[in-house]
Amino acid sequence: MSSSTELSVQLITECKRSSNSGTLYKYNDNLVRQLSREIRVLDRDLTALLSSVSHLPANEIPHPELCALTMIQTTIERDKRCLLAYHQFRLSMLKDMYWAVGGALPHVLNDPDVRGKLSPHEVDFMREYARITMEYRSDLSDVVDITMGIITPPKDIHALVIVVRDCGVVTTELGAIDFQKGQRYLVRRADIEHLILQGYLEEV
Amino acid sequence: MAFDWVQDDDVPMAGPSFMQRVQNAMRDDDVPVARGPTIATTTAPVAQSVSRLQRDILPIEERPIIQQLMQHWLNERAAPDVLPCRLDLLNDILEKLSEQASLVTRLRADPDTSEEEHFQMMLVQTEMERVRFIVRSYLRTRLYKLENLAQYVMSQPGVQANLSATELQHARNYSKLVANQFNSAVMVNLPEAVRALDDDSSDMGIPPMVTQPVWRQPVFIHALRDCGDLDLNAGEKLRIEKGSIHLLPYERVQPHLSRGEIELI
Repeated sequence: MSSSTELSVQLITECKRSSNSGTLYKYNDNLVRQLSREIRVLDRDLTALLSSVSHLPANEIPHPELCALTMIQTTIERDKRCLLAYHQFRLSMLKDMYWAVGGALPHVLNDPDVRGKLSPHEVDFMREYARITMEYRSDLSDVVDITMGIITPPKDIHALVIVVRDCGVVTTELGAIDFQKGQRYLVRRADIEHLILQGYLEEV
Repeated sequence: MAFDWVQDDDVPMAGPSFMQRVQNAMRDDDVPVARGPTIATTTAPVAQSVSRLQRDILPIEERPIIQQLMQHWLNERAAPDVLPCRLDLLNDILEKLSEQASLVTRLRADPDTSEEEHFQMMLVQTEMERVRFIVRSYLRTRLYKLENLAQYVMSQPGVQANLSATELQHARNYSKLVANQFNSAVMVNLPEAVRALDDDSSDMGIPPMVTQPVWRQPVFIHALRDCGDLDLNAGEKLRIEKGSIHLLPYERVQPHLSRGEIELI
């Protein structure tokens, strides 16, 4: 039984470490598999034990068996919750990453560093999440774009920015601007805020 | 060594304070500022000089719409569950915003627009951006709570009445998406008997699987009118008077909030 708590605690510790350091860890496929296997083994034990006492009425099951049953049942529940908590934690972390770059999904998924850490399920989740969020956004997009920043309220409609990475031609209020590394521009904040979030421009 | 903040006032300053200078300043507008008919819609309510105290005591519905929106935004951010969506108010504001946006576009294209009007336009545009910020933050706060509570929301028709159609659709999509995700990533590898996503074995001391709002979360409230006695735990009573501020568990003040007798701050 000790090994089981160890595995699930490992998963939870990984979440804790990940949230404390603010970094996404690689999907721990190995640990998830081990834990799932353990739940299956425990479930088999449970079934075997249950069938051995099934001929007795509920209030006559001997105490040792009753204890074992409760123990196994709670361990299964615990393992299951830890497993789900791990996945839930990762999903919320991925969602945060999605919103942090202003809802630019390709920006997240095309980053080889991030991509390597995701499980195939998580990539699917991100695609689908982006789709349903887009559905929600499309109702409002002409007046308010909800993917723009909500950390600090805008104090000025213009922003002085310096280009830190080439990002090609972007259409702004002043017409199309070819942003090239090292250049400075005074542009409308609303036009380029997503580029700041994605790390192409920096505010001076 | 601790700083002695209070003493700071007595330290001689290099000159009169900013407030003193403003009060004694000469009027430096050469000509009275022309107020074009264009600048009225969204900025007017905000610019109204409603003193802080007066504003506080007004019931929410009697305030200018921007201030209503700001209050609902504050309430939404402080409350642990999803409050009723102010769709009518949002629509009003969005409509005003697009009106204003088209005015600005028209004025900018017009070569007769004076320098002064250009300056005013800039203020109006900044104001619009700030209103958009609040709308955005309001909607995103709701979206965040919706997603966290998606499963709970979908099981409670009462809560669903608080959502706009789009929000409800999103909650439905999201809870389905997460359930699919859990099923395909985790549950397929588990025995059939333990695949449920809504276990509730609270009798065994295990918390239920469906995330609930934190009803006991403490919130700061500001009473907009006398709310009478509030029952606290252990038979204690607390009189809530108009204008007073308290820190109380959300579950105790929720009925007053939904009746608009208090606001969250």
